[in-house]
Amino acid sequence: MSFGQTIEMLSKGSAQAVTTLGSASKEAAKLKKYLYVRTPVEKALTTALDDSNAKRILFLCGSSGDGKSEVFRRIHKKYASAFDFHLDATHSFDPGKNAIQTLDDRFREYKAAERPLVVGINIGMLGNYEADGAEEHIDIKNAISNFLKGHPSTESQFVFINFESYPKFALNGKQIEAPFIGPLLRRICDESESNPIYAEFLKSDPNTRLHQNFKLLCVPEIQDRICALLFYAHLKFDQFLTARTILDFVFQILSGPGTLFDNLFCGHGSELVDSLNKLDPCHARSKRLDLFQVKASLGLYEEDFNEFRTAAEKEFGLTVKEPRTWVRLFYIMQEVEFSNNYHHQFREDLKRDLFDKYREFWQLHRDYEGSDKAQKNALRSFYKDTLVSAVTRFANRFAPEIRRDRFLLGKPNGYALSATATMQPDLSKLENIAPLQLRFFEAYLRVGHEHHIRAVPITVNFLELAFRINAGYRPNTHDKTTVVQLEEVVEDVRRIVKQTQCLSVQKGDIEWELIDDEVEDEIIVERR
Amino acid sequence: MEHLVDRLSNVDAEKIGSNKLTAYLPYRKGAKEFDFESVACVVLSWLMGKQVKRNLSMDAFEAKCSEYLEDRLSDTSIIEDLRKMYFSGDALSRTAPEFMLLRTHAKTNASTKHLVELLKSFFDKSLPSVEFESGTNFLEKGFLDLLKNELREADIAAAEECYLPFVAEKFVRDVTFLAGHSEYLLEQLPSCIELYNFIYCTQLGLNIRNWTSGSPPSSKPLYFILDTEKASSERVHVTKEGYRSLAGPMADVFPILSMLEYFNSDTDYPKAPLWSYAKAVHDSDDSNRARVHKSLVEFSEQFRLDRKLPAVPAAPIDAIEAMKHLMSLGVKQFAKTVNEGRHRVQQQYMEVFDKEVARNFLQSRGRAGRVLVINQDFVLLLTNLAIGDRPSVRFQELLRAFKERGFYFDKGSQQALISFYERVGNVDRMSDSGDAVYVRNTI
Repeated sequence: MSFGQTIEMLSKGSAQAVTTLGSASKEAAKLKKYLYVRTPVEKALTTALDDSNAKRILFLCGSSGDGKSEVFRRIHKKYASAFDFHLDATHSFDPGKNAIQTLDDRFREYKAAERPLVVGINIGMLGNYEADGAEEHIDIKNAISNFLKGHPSTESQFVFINFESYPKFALNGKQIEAPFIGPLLRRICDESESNPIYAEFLKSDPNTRLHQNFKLLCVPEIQDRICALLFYAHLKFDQFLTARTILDFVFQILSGPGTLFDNLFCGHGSELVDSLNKLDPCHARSKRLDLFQVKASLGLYEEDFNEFRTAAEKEFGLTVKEPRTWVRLFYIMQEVEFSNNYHHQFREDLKRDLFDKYREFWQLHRDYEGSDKAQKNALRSFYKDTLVSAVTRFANRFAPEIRRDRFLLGKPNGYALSATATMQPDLSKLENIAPLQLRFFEAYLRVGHEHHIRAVPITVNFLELAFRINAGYRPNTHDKTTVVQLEEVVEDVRRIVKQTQCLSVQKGDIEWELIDDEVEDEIIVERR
Repeated sequence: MEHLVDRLSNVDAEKIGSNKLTAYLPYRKGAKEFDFESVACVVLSWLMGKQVKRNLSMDAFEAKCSEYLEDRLSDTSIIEDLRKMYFSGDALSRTAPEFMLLRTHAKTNASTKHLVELLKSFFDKSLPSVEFESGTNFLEKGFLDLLKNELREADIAAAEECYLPFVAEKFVRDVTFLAGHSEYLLEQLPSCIELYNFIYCTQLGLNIRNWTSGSPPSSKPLYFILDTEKASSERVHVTKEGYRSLAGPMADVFPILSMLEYFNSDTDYPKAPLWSYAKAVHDSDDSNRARVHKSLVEFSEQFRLDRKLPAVPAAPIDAIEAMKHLMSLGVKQFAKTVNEGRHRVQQQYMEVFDKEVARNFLQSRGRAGRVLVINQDFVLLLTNLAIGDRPSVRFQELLRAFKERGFYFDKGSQQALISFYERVGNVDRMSDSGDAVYVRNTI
């Protein structure tokens, strides 16, 4: 088997991409066994299985390609004596039945027998079963329904172990940790005899693109950068990173038509790759980068760049012509110490501020304890300079004439009605509540002294919108993404502010304050 | 139910005149544009169970408000500006739904009145009485208190039983849901009525020939595409169960309904739909059925002669057959070969349907011909209505709720829907599987 063929086994189009309990080819089995990273999900499942042999249903749920079947294949032998396994919950082997009827039958068998059952099932299928499963299994359907609503079942009769509850990333200090993807990449690149990929790599022709790309992937800092990129794609584009998608992704970036760097950002064919296109560092604009690209396209190279280029050619066999490819290389290799470190000068230009800020805010919300002054100040600054500022600017977008601390309540016939609004972070809430997942954290706002508005879920996209609004961008109705959420916040605040006793009216030269004096049953008019 | 059988056995051949229509259709031939805004105001008054006293015009109310301000303002020189601010255009009714009631006295055209009559029958059995929690400021609250003194109970006695109870039920449910979100209601109620006007007419068309069993109508498939999609003749559902499948039965609506008028000529009871008559016949005893049979056979013959239609070889064998026969005569009289003038009238009805009722739902798409489309604003509205107060709904379930409201989508459109929702940002995916897509509302 050649190096190319070995790498191709990683592709989702490969015959080896789907595991069954049946036999696979010898090479494939060897590769899978080698690459397998024992995940917390597997541990949770085996712990549950070891725990007791009592009659119950264990649902192992996840997306397709998560590795449910692979887990089953590994543990099947050990537990087959005490447990029944139902693996392909999405399929039916009887042409007369669909997957739901097959599950109905399976559960009926389970109820009639005394043995515990382990079901590997897709989350989508679980939802379908909840909606269309037979009425006789209402107990199971209810348990599924509660699980899907996010209320973990207290009954020990139905146990749910979900791949999604074990996040693919963790944030620690400035580090983005990828407890599954990181070790998987390291394994693929591990320089040892037991690694079938590496063994083939050594035998392969060093002049091939595949060989060069693999060599680049072996650099640990490059692996870390790729993990960070995947994290960004996960946050910004809701990418599900299953084992199968990641292996396929590795296959694509290694064996694509260009260098590793171009394959990362210019590939096509899967949702993940499409979203990486949008994260292309070539979109970054700075004087230094632009200048580099202009000069490079004219063939005007500086002395230290020539040195850097020669070193890259020697080390990785890279023959790069396109300036854009160089920019991508600078980005991917920014943490690598290489040659004269020419590429380090662009680090600042290639920073991902949005994601860095999001990470910072997310961590602040998670770690806030109430006593730390620095934390408190940082949080206050996020609320004041980012959130409140964006909400107010957005609310007042049709009335630029009103004062900055005012909140627009309406503009009937051109008269801007507004009132003073003070919005403060509700920090006391943060002490007890930590974000549940990486994709968003909840921000808590207080209007005036006593009014709390609903928690605002902040995603990367919401944060991006807030930044853009603060920088002067004005979303319109066609710009629906996340604007809906912002509108909700504005409505909440507006409802509270409307109850004010002091309204201000502005139009052209007119500027009045109207004060509602309930005691005197009078409305006091003050002209400004 | 007995009165229905009585009516069938007493259809009066003396009354055979020209074809007329007084119920069950919100438009007549040559009808003008609907004013959905003013229908919305009326619907709102039903929702609240309140309407403004007859003599209260917008001007009278404005005078009352001025008086109120005059009494309270420390500086009355600003009154003129305050009046400009709230009382020109529809500024006031945008601040709280209650103010929309003031507009129910405005002059409207015939289509609008017909639509109001029709929608009245939707509310017949269930009248919600909604109270709004309007987020008004203290000025607006003052006006609102004045208005509340000028309200009386709404009267809502429908002259007809609803033809499509399943549509009525959804409509009442959906507008009641909207009422819980006053800002969204103010913005969307007219669109919601336009949507339901369309749903009612299309489903009426699809159900108009299915009455013989006597069971209430149900949602019939009608396929739409999003207006951003391409219509391809390879899309089986869209071509076979789209506009083309609707146009035929839709043309029969006027003939059949105008025939139904002969049954419903007695004004002591509310008018009844055709399927109710069929049900009454099924439920009655043999002697009554024979009575109906005899009466209808005689009437049919008179009618046939009056309209100069060719004779049929065999007379209908029972009451239901007799009804069917009569309806078929009703349809036949409009054939181009029978009477050009009448045929023209039938076409005029179809023109109104195409131009007014379906104006936002019908497009000509080159080779694919006329296709039913739904634009993004209506998709969002329909989605929000279908989800209602639930936090989120599985995509498959959402499609089911669309079907209940007469909107069917094929696989291609389902994909387009999902990518639309993704752009709006109201989907949650629980996994990468297409089944695990949950849609949230955007209110």
